[in-house]
Amino acid sequence: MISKPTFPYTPQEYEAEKASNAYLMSLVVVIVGLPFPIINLIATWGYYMGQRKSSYFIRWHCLQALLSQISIVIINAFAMGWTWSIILTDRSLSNGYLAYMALAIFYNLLEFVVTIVTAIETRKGQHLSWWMYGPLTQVLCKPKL
Amino acid sequence: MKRFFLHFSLSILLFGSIWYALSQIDWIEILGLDSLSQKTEQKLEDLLWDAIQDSEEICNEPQAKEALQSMWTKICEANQLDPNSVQIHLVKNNEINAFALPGGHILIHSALVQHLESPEELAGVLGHEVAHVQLNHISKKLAKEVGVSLLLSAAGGGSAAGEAIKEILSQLSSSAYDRGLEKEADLKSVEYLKNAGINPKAMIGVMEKLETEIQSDLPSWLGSHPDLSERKEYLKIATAHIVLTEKSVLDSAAWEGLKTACD
Repeated sequence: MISKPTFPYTPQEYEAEKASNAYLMSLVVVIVGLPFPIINLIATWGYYMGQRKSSYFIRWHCLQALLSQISIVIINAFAMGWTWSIILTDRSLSNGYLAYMALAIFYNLLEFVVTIVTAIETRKGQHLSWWMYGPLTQVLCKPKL
Repeated sequence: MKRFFLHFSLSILLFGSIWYALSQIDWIEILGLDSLSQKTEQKLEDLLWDAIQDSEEICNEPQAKEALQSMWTKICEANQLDPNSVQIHLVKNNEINAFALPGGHILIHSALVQHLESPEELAGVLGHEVAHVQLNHISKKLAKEVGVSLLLSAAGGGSAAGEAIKEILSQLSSSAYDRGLEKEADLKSVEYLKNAGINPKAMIGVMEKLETEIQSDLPSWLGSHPDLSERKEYLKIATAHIVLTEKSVLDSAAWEGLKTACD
């Protein structure tokens, strides 16, 4: 899920700190984000916008933190929608729903752990690239502004 | 970008496969969700029925019971329904009302019977309440409007249970189901009556009488029922092509007996 490719240069202390904060941002809002998944996306997008003129290392990790919220937003929004439809409409509890919820909880926990690990490693100046989002960030984020 | 699409496709495939595999497990059975709700429902049914017996005067006049039973038998035989799935009770009450309780108890108030013009109209009301039972509308209404916590506190016994039971009974007897469920029950009732050879057009007459009641501003449950003119319209459409030989569901003596059973 995480790989450690070589980054073009060694980031400085302040870059490592700011890049690490991008991951912390998504963790801080996770409590609010569970019932309203879009909050996570908005928070990381806000942080990314604030850092979009920063160095390549910072921008790269801010963008990876932002993109990584997309799947969790979709998964959690679907889980919320399904749950509300059971509460408010004629839909009943099904094995499919319970399986989906179990998988959604597992995915949330996995992303939570991976985010913490990435935040810690990035703070040390390490460059961690996530499965799927790493390659996408690599395409979208260019070294020079 | 190629790597991203490869990872993306694999992720979707993995997520879908795990979801499908997990869905094959009977979580409801394993977690005991089904048996829990069945036990709770059973207890609730008993408590509600006990409360009704304590608070209402049920007319046990044998001829009236027989008349209602014969009406029900016609409907259930023609529609392959379980005859034991519903128990019909005539209640001495001045409010124009009929409602279903969990467990298949259908309560018809004497004022409603007196207000109706024909046994076919009563069959329409009965078909409507039977449909609520058969289509599991009562559980849906309870879960949605009464709330799971109140249901559990009612079923759990203790000091709070009495108040909770009162609240549930009030919800079941005095407020309508939501528009979608009412329509579903109306149309199911049309189907039941048609199959049983009872003219479902009588249901339109019931709606007209209910409208008159609302206009006369009687303080009754009718006011909470959704849009009677809308119901009348879709009933007209649903019954437009139904041609049945006019044969009464009850003979006049049985119908008159039913109307005066609680006097």
